[in-house]
Amino acid sequence: MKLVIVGAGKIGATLVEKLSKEEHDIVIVDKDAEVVEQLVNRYDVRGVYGGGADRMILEEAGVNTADFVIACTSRDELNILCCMLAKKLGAAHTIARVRDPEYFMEMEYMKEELDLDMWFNPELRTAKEIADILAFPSAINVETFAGGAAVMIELRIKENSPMIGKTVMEFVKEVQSKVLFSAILRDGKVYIPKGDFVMQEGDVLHITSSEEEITAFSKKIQMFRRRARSVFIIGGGKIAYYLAKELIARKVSVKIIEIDEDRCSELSEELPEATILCGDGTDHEVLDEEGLAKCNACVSLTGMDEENVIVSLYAASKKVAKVITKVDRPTIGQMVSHLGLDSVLSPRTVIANQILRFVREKADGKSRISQLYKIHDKVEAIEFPVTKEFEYIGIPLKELNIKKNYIVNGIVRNKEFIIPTGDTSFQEGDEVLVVTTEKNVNGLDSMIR
Amino acid sequence: MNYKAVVNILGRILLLEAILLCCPLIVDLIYKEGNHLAYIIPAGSLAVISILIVVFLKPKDKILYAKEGFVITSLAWVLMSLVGAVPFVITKVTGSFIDAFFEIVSGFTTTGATIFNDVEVLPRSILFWRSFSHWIGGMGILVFMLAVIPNQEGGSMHILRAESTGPNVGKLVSKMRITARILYAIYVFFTVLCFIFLVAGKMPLFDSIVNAFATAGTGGFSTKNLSIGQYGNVYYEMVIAVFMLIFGINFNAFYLILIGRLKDVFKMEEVRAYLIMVIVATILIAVDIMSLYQNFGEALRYSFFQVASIISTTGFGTANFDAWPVFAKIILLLLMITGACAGATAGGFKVSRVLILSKSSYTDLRKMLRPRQVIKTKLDGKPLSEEVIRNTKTYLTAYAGIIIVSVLLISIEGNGGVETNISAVISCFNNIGPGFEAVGPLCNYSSYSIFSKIILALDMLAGRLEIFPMLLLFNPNTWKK
Repeated sequence: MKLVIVGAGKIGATLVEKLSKEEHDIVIVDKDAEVVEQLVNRYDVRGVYGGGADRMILEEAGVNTADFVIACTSRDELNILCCMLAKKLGAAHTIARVRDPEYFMEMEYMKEELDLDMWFNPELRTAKEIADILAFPSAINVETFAGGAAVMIELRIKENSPMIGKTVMEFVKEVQSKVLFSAILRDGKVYIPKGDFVMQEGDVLHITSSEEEITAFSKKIQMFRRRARSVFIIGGGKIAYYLAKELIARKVSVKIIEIDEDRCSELSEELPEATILCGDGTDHEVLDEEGLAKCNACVSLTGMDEENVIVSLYAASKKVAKVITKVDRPTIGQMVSHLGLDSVLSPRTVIANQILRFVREKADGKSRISQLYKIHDKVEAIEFPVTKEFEYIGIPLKELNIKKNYIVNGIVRNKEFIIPTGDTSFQEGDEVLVVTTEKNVNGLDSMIR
Repeated sequence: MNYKAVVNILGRILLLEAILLCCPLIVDLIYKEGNHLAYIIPAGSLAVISILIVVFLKPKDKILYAKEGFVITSLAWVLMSLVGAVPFVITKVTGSFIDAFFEIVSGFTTTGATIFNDVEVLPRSILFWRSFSHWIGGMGILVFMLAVIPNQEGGSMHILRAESTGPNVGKLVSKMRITARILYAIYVFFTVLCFIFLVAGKMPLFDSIVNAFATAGTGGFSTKNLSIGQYGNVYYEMVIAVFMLIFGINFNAFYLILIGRLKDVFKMEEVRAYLIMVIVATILIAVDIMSLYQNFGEALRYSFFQVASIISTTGFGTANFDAWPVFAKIILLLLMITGACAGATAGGFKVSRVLILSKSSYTDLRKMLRPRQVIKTKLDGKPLSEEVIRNTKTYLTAYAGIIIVSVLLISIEGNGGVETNISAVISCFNNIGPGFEAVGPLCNYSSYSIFSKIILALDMLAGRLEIFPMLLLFNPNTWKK
């Protein structure tokens, strides 16, 4: 596929890094020759210097034959303009980064009128992910499939867990849960576990099932925590605004602490239900006074990665049940995972993953993938719809010759989650969840030999 | 330094050379000259060694940085030349290994300077290997490797940049492999076209192949002692002259034609300047040498061929230009230095660098008059970055420095004359072949000492790889871990 990425900032660079690993033709466009040069040296991509709304430049980058044009410069208007131009020049799909909440209000209308295929807002998306995690506090990460009918949670086996030393099969029998172990991450390696896989302390499990089953399962392994009822947000930026809005809609009480007075009054105007505090969120006395320890969850969202990490460590020491940290540089996220901070999010990675998914979903125009989730870049959980054309409808799974590195992780039929057994078969209209170590899978047929 | 990755890639290149050595072997078997061992021995041993390297020395980390790119490129060329010299030694056509090394370096770097007094007595397989080496070296063996070896990881850009010519190397399309393939497709297409034109003119088949290869690589090794002039055929001369000029044009131009962006081709200032230089030089020389020939048409014929041959840095000859008047000789000397376009198979300083330097100097001059004025130097309508201008100036310094040092070094032993030695260095360094006086179009380099031959061979490599990769090879910092 041919992709043109306009803007080589944080997100542009992350996209280049991730997409260049798959077999795509990538052209990166930016005004800063030096940044483009670095990317071209590092990855197998072509670079073009120039403005994103310059027709000559876009033509040189080959947007007329591009399958995707992704505009992710720091300016909303430029991104929109670039996408409109690209569409007119013949690009198949356009994706724009739009961050201003004002534009986002009329999102659907504008998307239609401006002929954009997707627009993304890193802050909004990150806020949504944080809200999802807060709904499931025992998990490091939560991913929903098939419109919420299936949930995949990521959790770490802590010391004293009843799971340590048992095989997957033994444990599932013991707790009598209908859940599926999709993948296990150990020492940076991802395993797709068989029944005889022995679990150890520190393993990160990916478990799939329906929401109720997952809740029941979490209870049985004594990791169940109720969804957060009161959340403490440190830093009042865009993510905080979106997150507060989302949480208020879910009837969660929100406290935001922000150092800048003007920003505080803006926030209090826009978010009347939230408690807005003006003060230094890195001052432990302020935090103690405002009752950090009594909150269910603490989310640090300041503009400084280091501050976020330190505040989170402090919150963890105060036994706040759930601590979420935002870091802008994804590398920091990897470093702090050793400090006991599990839920570390980077807007760059969040958004890059979202775009990757969109690109894969729309690939070859047939949209054969409904959803894609990457587990540590090594394993993918992919949701495929079963269409009429699929030739193995009605055949029991045990009679299908499914390749070794694939597992059928679940079937969603009529909003019902089914754990597949050897006798299950695919039906038209099913959403099938497949977990695989194979790269660039784009159809259900590819898993059958 | 990622030594393992460097050695692994070098292993792959040597394996490629082992395969390429089979081509002269086939020629030998066809003409039954009995020199097959001269190719089987180096190809066989090379294949065994390189397969062992490629299989057992797998790098953990495949990412290459600029330094590795330079080292791989320069080492690859030196190693290829050392191995490529073996057939000359085994067939005993050269006196010493250094002679053989000089000859094959001259081949790979598309110089065409020879040490043979009489090429017509050489076995055909050797003649083939000489001009085939031009063809391999013309576009570059590493570019070839990038085209055929799948899944090159990050950093292959550094290799393309180190091996390709010109101040501003870019990819044609996003994928390195596809870029390399397009370049080779254009290269093969024009080579075959040249061959067809020569065969259509009833040039003997073997001569057509050899001359087509030598033209495509802008090399200049021929099958005749008097080069193309020996045929005395206007048709051959014109075909070869036109193709020499074609191979001196930036390959990006052909790609743009291929994808139908003809408008952009006319915007390429370098190509325009190159063609104007050819026309002006041809007319000036033709007028200057008119008295030596029967009529103006005759003078134009020899002038055009010589200009095409020199500016494209090929070095074929149809006339003894050493006997031409001094004005004509000076024009040729200047053309030797400028060379052809960047991104072509030709050598020289490159027309684009001349353009960049003269334009930026003109900008600087204007700034001296009005210091507050802000002026950008532009090429092809786009502003040039300060870095490109600075690099070009550095290149000029290194370029002049190497010529001076080399002239001094080959003069130590008292060989040659002033004109001979200066033109020999300029000719070798710019990958042309013939110079003036004792190294003129009718003579060769056999009279130089072993030491001077090594210096000239290094000059050829430095010229082909555009100086820096070779210079960095001698810099101790390059080798630190």
